[in-house]
Amino acid sequence: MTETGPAPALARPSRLHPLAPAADLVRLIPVAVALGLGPGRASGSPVAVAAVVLLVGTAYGYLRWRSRTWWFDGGTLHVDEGVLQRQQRRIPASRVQEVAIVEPVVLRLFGLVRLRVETAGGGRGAEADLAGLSRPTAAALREAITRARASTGDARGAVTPAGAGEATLLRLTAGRLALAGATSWTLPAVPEAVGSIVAASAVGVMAALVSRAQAELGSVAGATVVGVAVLGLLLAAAAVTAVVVDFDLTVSRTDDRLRLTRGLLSRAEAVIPLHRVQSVRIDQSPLQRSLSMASLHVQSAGLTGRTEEGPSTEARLPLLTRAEIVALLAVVLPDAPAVDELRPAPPAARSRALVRRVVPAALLSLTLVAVEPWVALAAATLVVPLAVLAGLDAYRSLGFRLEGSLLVSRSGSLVRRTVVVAPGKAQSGRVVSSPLQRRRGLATLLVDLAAAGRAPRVIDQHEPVVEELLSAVTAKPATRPR
Amino acid sequence: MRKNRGGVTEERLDRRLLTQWRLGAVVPALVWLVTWLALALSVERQGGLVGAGGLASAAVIAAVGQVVATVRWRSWRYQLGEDALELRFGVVRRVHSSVPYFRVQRIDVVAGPVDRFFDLARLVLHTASASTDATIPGIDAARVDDVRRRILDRVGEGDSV
Repeated sequence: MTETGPAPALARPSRLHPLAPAADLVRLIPVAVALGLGPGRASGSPVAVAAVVLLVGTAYGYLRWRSRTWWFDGGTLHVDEGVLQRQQRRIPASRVQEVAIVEPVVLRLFGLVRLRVETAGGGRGAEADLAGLSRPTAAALREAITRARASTGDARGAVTPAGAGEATLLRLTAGRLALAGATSWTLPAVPEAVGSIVAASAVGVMAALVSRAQAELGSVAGATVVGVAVLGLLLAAAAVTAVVVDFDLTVSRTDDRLRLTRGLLSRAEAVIPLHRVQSVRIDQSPLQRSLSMASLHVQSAGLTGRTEEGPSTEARLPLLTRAEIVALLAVVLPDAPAVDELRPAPPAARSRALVRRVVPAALLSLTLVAVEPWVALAAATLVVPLAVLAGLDAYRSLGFRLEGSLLVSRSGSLVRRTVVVAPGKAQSGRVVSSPLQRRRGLATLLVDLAAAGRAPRVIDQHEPVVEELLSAVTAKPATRPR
Repeated sequence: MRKNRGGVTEERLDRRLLTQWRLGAVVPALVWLVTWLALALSVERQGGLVGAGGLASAAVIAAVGQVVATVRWRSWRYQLGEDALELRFGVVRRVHSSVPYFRVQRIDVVAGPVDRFFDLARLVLHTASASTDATIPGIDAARVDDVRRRILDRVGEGDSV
């Protein structure tokens, strides 16, 4: 920031920046246009309707701007607002969890930012949201609140003012982001049975497309060209999306906090207190495996760091090299061991991994008999060998490692997923076994964390081993966790 | 009840819950029977054979329900261990759930109308994780406060997240 001049007087009641209502008005333009073209054209006066909408919007926006004042007296943030029903909000700095600066597109057009104050209570009403501050004012306010909070003594560990001692850990180039978009063709939330259905139907659709293209273009070469073009377009779209969403993704660290900023149009910021990190997940698609790179997700507890774009309790880093992952893990979970030296699953788990994938694939092919027997045969000869390969790969993925109460676990076919569970963070745990698992003396461990998303799991290890893991992971830490 | 390591007793669910589950298992059989008779009699006017078929199939459904309820009830054990509540249950999918007391955020006692009829209550433990699975479905209503207090005594002071 290059602004000079006197520091904004934070303690004096002041309004948002005068341009803030203008930004609201810009957001109203599409509504005005839509109303003008819809009901407006029907009544014969599209321009008049749009103008009335904009006028009313301007008047209301002005009144709202005028009625809204904020100030920070050194210990409490005050926000008074409301055109008809007045509301006075008081947020003591000691209760503030996070102060985030977000830059939505429309505000950026006017050189403004949005400041969000999050409190521990969680309820949406308990927070302040000042959309339309000048950049230096927002920065000064954030620093003042953070400093006041540190001086009141935050129970969750020492905090220094933002900007002091902030070190940039990582910055991803546009090229890297594009590569991330093009190589991350994963369906992370899809269970594997569903995955094989998707794969089988994709094969069907492809076959239909190819035969269609062959009929239209008259040759296999033509069809291949079409297929390659479609694939290329999809990859390009994925790459462009990744660059726009994650543009200039930067990770920095201030003492106990990890700060992520990203975005080309809207800049979003997420702040993760390191003591609230529940787990770190490392995902590797087959392409990324061949590049020996992976994506990394840090999951933290609670609502801290929500942004305009939704909950950001999961911080996502789309593509990192092995060295970058090691360096980041050393910051986020200093006690984490090498995540690629794991204890493999017993041989009994191999047939489980195969059965889990081959049986659904075979059953699916069988249902295609209803269409045409030869289609079923063709599908089976294609899908079943793929399922066998996926099963063998899934077995090779399986493995875990326990260091004290820190658990590392790996699983997944095709997309290899390594989860590091932060020590002393398991809320509870479950050992689950199906009849087929019990026949081979195997079981699966699920770890319940105070974070959204799928519970980390250790799949298909010997049952006594899993029971031991359960008691190790849920044991009460000797010292209080950070 | 049998003694486990550390001399902590492993407990079964209340016997009245078995009765409740067994009675509950009859309901689908009755629904089946009524639907069967209604449909069959509206199509054909001669009741005898159709009625016998309906009764027989309903009896089979009820019998299967009895077996499932019994096996499910017998599979349940819970144990107020030294540091954690341990639940073991499940017939096809066996589950062993362990909830350390120091993680407990809240304990609910829930009793629906049917539970109250049988003088039973459900004890539900909540931690900071949404996926924690810790419900004891059948405890004597007169005892449930005691069980809750025993757990609360051990919750003590802990870091929750």
